[in-house]
Parts: sequence; C-alpha cells; structure tokens
Amino acid sequence: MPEYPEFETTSLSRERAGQASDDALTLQVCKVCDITHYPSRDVCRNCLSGELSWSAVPTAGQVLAVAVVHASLHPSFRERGPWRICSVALDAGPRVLAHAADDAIQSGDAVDVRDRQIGEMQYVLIARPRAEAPHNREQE
Amino acid sequence: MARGAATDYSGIAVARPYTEPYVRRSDKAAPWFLGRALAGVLQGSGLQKDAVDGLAVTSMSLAPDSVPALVEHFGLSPRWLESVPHGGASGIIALQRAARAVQCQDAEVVACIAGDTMAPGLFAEQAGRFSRFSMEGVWPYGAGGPNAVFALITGAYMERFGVAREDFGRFCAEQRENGRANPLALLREPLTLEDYLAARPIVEPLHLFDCVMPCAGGEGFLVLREERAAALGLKYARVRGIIERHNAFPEDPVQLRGGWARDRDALYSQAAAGPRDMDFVETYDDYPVMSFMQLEDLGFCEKGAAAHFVRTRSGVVGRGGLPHNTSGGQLSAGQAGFAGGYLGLVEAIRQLTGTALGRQVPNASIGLVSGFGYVNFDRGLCTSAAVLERADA
Repeated sequence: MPEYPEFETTSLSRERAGQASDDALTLQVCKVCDITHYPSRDVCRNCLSGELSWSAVPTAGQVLAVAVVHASLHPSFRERGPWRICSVALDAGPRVLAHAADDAIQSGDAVDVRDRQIGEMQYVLIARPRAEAPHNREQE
Repeated sequence: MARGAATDYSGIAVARPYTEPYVRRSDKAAPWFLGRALAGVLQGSGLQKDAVDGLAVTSMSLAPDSVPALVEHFGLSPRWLESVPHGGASGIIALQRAARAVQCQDAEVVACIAGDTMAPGLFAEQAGRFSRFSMEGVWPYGAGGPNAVFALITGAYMERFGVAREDFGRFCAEQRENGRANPLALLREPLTLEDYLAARPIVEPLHLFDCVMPCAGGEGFLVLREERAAALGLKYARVRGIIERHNAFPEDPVQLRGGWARDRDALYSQAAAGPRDMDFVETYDDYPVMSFMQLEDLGFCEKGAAAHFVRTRSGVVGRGGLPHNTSGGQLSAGQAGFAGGYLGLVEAIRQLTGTALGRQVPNASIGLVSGFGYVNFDRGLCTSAAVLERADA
C-alpha cells in the first residue's frame, strides 16, 4: 500500500475525520430524510435540513470510471505517482472518488470503499476489489 | 414544455468583440487584463468610458479585489453592475443579463468583460482550493485538478459510446488547423493525428493535447441598442436565443450529457432555427469530450454519434463541413481562466460581423455558441448556449 500525501482540510472534512475510523465508511446522513451525502455538506440537498449526522454506511459500490494521474499538480503526488483513481457509485447513494488500491480495478467492478487515516484529522477513501476487501462485515 | 415563448432579444446589438492578447504567464494582476479588455471594447467604438453605464465582469483571479473594486479602479460610475462567475458558461450568461438590462433600460451601454492572470503555481493553487467539495472529494485523489475529473468523464464516454483516442485526435487536429490562422492563439504550430497520439499522458485517458493550456488574457464585447450601434457605425450581431441551466442531471452517475440536452428545444424555438441552419458552431472545448457532448446535446447529431459527425463533416473553415471552433478554440488559443468562457462568444461575434482574426466563414449569417463550466465536484454544473445572427441577415 503506497503512502498517501496529506492535503489541505476543510472544516467539514475535519468533522468527518473526527467521526471516521479505518476500514469503515463514515458519511453524512440526513436526520430528516435519511439521505446519505458526499462530499460533506452543510445542509441536506433533498430537504435542506441542517441536521446531518455521521454514520457508518455500507461500503459496497460499483466503479464508474478509472483514471491514472501522471501529471499531478501537487509535488508529493508527483514524486510518488502515477496514481490510479476511480469514481464509484456507492450502494449507500452518493458518488465518491477513491484511490484504486489495485491496478486491476476497472469500470463496472464491484468494490468496497473504506476510509484510511493518513494524518491527523485526515482520511482518504480507498477502493478495493470486493472479494479482497478486509473485514467484510456487510450483510449482502 | 419548451420555454420558447420567452421574450425575445429584439433591438439588442452585440458589438466590438475584443481579445486582450493571451500570454502564457504574467506578473500582472487580473484587473490589468480586465481593464485592457474594457479599453479594447471601447477603442474605435466612438464611445467614451463614461458612456458605459453597465458593467458585467467575469474573473476567477480577482481576489482580494472584487467586481465593485474594479469600477473605482477603472474610474466608472455605472448604474448597473453584474458579476458572472459561472466559469465557462459565463460569456453567454453575461450577454443574457446585459441584453435584458438594455431592453429594460436599466443600462444603455453594457461592457461585458472577462479577464484572468496566470502565474507559476497559480493554477495549482486555484485547482487545490476551487471549492470545498473538490478540496475534500477530488484534490486528495492525486491532485490532478480538472484533468482528473475530465479523465474519468472521458474514459466513461469512450467506453459507453465506443469512441477511440483517434476520434478526439482528429477533432483536435482540425481545430488546430483553424487555430493556426489565429494570430492570438498561443499554439499555432500544426498538430497531426500522430502528434496527438504520441503525446505524454496527463491523466489517462487524457494526454497533452486533450488539455487546454492555462494562460492569462482578456475578452470582451459591448451590448447596446441597435439604433445606438447603427448611429455609431458599429458592426454588430443580433441575439436569436439564449439558454442556461445549472446542475441539469444530478442523478446521472457520470456526466455523459449536459444541460443543453434539456434546453435545446427552447433555444431553437426562441431562435426559430435549428442546428442544420447554423453556418458555424463554437463549443466550449476545455476537453474534446465536452465539445463532442455539446454537438450531441445541441442536436447536431444523435447521442454518441459525435465521433462519426466530426469524421464526416470537417470543422475546418472552408472545407464544406460545419466550421467548428473557428479561432482554434481554447485548445489552440489557451485558457485564460474564466475568460475562456467568453472566447467562443467573442469569436462568434467576429464571424457574424466579418471581422475574424483568422479564418472567416464566408457569408456567415447565423451561428451557435455554447458554454460549459464550474466543476465543483465530479462534473461541470453550468451550461449555456446562444444563437446569434448577422445584423443584416
């Protein structure tokens, strides 16, 4: 597993990090209409409620697209590239971008997306092929 | 139901297309390019600066200055002031706002200007802090900036519609052929399909010639009543229709279409014309895949058929197809920040006033220009399009 560079946080990404834990997926869920959100936001995009809670949500998803970053705009990524990233439609609802943990990950693949702590108050999302995902606790 | 019954844009003239020459890098601030664009639209217009009583401004590198700060900087006292920070959709949206202001007599002469600077490191800084969604959801994943988002979109589009890199390459090479004649384009050397295919990867599947070159520069035009433009002896274009849409298809898993698909019937209804009537088209070419989507979503071809369309109908001016991005687009000219959202519109005004800097479409009487912008997370949010016509058409 490569080392992931740290990045500039936002108040909401720090709030998420305060609730996240390794190998789970912690996202915002609207207390009123139960919709799961990502990226983290201030109000619910459905009902505009300001009451959003942090919850462990199902990690399963399907890869929408894959890309390989060769020309990064950040020096840490440049030194350690190229980076394989993917977009994933989570069963929980939202779309996320994630680091692809495996070079074999292709669009259409079933993956698990889980958090990984990379620094103080810093988590990133890692997508792994569903069969290889550790701690496969979700009920199918 | 189409919104085609919207009040038309009769009586409105769009004149004095101006481009403040692009430079790769500049130590000047954004107001320099905006101020020079304002001077440029006024030069030779017969109008003095104090005749401008409306100002619409588009810029992404203005901070810590602001749009109100500019009027003091430029010595203006406008009674109408608008900020249009809608990325690549901004030019057309500024035109729409300005045209309505002039029709409603809230202003007599509106200068629409866009300008941005570019310094070493600035592009990375802007990309790294573009929005809170992108700071949390995009930047930590390789810090590819917009290239990363559009690599994902391009890959999905290629897979869904069976499009190859050669298809984009052919489009980019033709567009460069137009750009070669544009004295203001930063990239004027020939681009062959072989050059395109051999380029280094940026964010796969995107390679070097799929990506616009960030630069500094400015664009602008004037909006005023036709009688005023005629009295001043200005060449001008008329507005036949305008659409805009924001966050059109939020449930689409990947952005394979834009808001144009939702609003094109309204546009063509307003314009009383269809895609087949257009003498040329200027699409927003931040990446070739987006120009393909605009051709499809604006009805020039079926969804997924843009590769076939550009293969069978040349976009090069004078080759009997459909002239497309006649100044070479941003892929040849460079992308001067949000001023890139004015480039196609300024070129369309030039084509319809017979004042192209490069290749002039013979007898151009009606054309379509479209805009696209603002990648907040995983897709562009803002779409716009306009149909313009030659004043004596």
